[in-house]
Amino acid sequence: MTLLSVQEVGKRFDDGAAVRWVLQDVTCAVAAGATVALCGPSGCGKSTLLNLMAGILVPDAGSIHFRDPDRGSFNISAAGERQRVRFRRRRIGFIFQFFNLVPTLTVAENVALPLELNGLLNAAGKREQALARLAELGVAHCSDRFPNTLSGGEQQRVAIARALAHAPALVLADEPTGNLDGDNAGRVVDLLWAAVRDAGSALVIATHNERIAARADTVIELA
Amino acid sequence: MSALLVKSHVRFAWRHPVAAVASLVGVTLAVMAVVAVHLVGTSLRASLEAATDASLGGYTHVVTRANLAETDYFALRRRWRSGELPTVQAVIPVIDDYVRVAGAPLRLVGFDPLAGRGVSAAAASAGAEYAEFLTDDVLFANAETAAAIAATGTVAELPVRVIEASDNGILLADLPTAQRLLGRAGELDAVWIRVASVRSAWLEILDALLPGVEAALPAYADPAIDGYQVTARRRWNPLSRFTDASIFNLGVLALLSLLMAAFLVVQASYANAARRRLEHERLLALGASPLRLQVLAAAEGCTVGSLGAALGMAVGMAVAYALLQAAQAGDAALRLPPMDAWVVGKALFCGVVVAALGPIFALRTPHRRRRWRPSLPALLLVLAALGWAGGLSAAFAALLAACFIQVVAVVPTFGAAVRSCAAKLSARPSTRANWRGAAMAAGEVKLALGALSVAAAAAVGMGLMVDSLRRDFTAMLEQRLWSGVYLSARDATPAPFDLDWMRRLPGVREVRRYGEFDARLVQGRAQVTVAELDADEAARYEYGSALTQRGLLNEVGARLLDLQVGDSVVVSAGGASATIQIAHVFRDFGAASTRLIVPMAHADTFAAVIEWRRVSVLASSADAGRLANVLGDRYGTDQVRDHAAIRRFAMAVFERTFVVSQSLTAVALAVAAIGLYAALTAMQAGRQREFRLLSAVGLSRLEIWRQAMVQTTVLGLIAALAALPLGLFIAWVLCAFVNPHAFGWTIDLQPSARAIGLPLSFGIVAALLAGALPAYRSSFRAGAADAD
Repeated sequence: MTLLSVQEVGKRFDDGAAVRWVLQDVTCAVAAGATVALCGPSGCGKSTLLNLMAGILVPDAGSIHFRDPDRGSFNISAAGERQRVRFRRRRIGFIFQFFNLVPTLTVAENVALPLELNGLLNAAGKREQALARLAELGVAHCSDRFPNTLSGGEQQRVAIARALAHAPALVLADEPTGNLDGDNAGRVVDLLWAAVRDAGSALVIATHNERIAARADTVIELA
Repeated sequence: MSALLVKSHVRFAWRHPVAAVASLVGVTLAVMAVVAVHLVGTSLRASLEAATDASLGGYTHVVTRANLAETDYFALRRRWRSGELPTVQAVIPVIDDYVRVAGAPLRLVGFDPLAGRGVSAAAASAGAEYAEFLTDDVLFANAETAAAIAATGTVAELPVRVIEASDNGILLADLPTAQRLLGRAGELDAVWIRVASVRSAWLEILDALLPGVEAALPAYADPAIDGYQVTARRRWNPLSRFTDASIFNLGVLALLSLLMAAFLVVQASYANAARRRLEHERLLALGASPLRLQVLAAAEGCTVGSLGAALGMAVGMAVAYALLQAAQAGDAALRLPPMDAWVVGKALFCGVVVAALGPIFALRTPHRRRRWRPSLPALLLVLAALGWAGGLSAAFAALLAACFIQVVAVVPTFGAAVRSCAAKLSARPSTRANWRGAAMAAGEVKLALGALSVAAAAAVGMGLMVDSLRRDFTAMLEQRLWSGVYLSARDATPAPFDLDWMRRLPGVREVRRYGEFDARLVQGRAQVTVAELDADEAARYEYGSALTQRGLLNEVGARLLDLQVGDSVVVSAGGASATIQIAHVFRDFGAASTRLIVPMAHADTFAAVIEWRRVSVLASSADAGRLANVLGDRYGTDQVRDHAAIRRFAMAVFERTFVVSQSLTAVALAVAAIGLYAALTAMQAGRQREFRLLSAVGLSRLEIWRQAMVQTTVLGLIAALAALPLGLFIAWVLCAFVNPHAFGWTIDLQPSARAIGLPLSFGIVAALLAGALPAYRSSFRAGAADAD
């Protein structure tokens, strides 16, 4: 079943001097539970497409639909800001390349944040679930530390835990291993794949890494 | 509200306290200035009103005409009752003159208490004795006067009963009683009326928010009553208007601090927002709504604002108390008024709005953010220019607009000019980089830099105005104060000084005496001085020849009463009146009300009310000291002063007058400097990578610090240079418009190196001090990072 469909989407940026189309006529689909790799050179619009899929940005052309099992089709591109915020909060998990964690929250609080934003569980329950997620990813021992005391690999593992904490239907990862060395990158990708599979979520990952792209069910090349 | 988001916000503020603490200090200082000025203003007004007929309350206008009689009042009342004067709520006949009590003239106000409900608070508070007030020969007086009258039981040789039911120096009586005591049966001096208007209701509210604001509003037409002159109470009593103008001007200076605090908070909020930009982007990606983040930021601002307002109120009360203690010098009349709902509300509103708006602006979503253009201030400036003749408010609107333009346009333009000049200034790449860096920094911290520039400009403007006024005031003293000794009697006994004896003293060139009395003109009240107006005396008032019939009017009176040279005024006092033509209008710095100098030819007319208290004994400077001792031995030193002592006293009063306004300007400068410190701290923190790179390239910690300090110096120079034109503009507006309109004083603006140089130097030093610590910390951190 198609979870997300992107139809002839275009996005332009106006830098004051000129208008530049970052994406034009992009069409693709993401099936429920599938893994999709977005590949292409720097500046081709991978991050922009992820932001469009999450409803952070709004396309200037085309449409993006999310098929919600409970509520039917949701047109992200036509929704208002409040609806997009609510959609993103409930259905999307996001992992970034850097500055993934809120520096003023502890590791456990970072993981609990999506639960709280969604109004799920009480304080004790949130912490319990956050600790469980952290344990699954092998970083439970860091739960009370602040992000700046963690290594890059640990930070990304916490980011995966946070992205999956509220069981989103779709996880969007923007070059999550870009800042990590080869060994660490491999471990983080393994964990991400396993976690997404266990949660039953779909994954769209933007990457330059061919080995990571090769593990995906579908590869979308952006020019 | 998400508890974790709140926790995150609190932790951020805890980890980066400079912005929050700077905002708190800025808001506290600004609210302190607003509260202190409000309380001092309220106290001054209360004291003034207790000492004048304003305390009789209720009436808004004074209706007069020459030779006013009771028949005029009855005619006026008929017109009012027939509906001809629909906005008038009450019409009260009044006789207002002087009677002698224990040898001294005392003001007696007689009125019909039944004609206007609530006219006399004093009479109403007398309770059962109120009935006696209406029926018998009863006077209401304060304790001191009551005791003096009770000693003889008579006033003007008529038996009276005195009731201690007043707290000012005015005698109150029922109209027939007063007429009898004054020997003026059937005569009146004025008819008080109470006029209701929407404007009055709004003015009450506006005045509670910004005391004295009425003095700043455009003069409005008094209600017209055919055949009579109608004057608003505040203009009838110019001291009240003078006080209002003073309070309003101080209030505007306090608002300058508030404006500086607003710039500080907005700059700090932008710095915080820039620091947290990535974090906010991530939170948005996680599903936190922009509104929620804005609400959090606003809540943080509200907390800082409320705390700042509370601290500001406490400090403001203490400052107001200290100012009143210093001002009253033993006069118990100046009391600290209670913190009423208006003051608390105003302080909270100022603090919270100033502190909350910054974070809200800083967190606006990019697509909603507009590029700031100086169109609004420019529009304000044009409107102000169009309304130039409209009153003080127009002048202050122009100044406000100029301040905004300074922040959003002038200071950035100076920064851009520095940038474009950087390449031409030096061939050394490091110097060019420094200047370019400073120009870029000027853009980053433009609000804080603009605020510092505005504060420095305000200090320049105030300084120039005060220096110019000091010069004019000194010149006036030179002209007015002849060499010699001046005597001023503490009691107005019939002959306090022996003039013949004085004339025989060795070294005495001449002895002159001066009589004084309060009088009514048709246009308002005036203090009249009777003097021998020969050529020498007239020269003291800038007039070239002797005067035998015509008089001299001060600038304040000319402006208040709308009179000019050649006009004639009818002077009435003690039942007598005389028509006097104005020969010249003289400058009279320091005077709050109308002063009329009339020649001796009019002395007989007003003999009953003239007090011959003052005497000038003219002598050379060498003899003045000796003569002062001789006269002091005979009359007591408290009644005798030589011209040097008077000059010293006058100059001391002059300097004291501007202490508060200069302190408020200093507060604004301090708030601006704190704002720049916060902005530079945030900016230098954002340049960590650049400093680490420089450190890696091989620059020592000292060299990095020096580089940062050079940039800070350039920032200070930009602020100071940009402040110069605005400072001159402010000085011009103060001298050419604010002072003549507020106080009736014309000041010749004269440039002064000290007035210009001092604030500008302070601005540069403030920038250096504000930048020193952040630059040091940055260079230290760069070194530490390098060591890692």
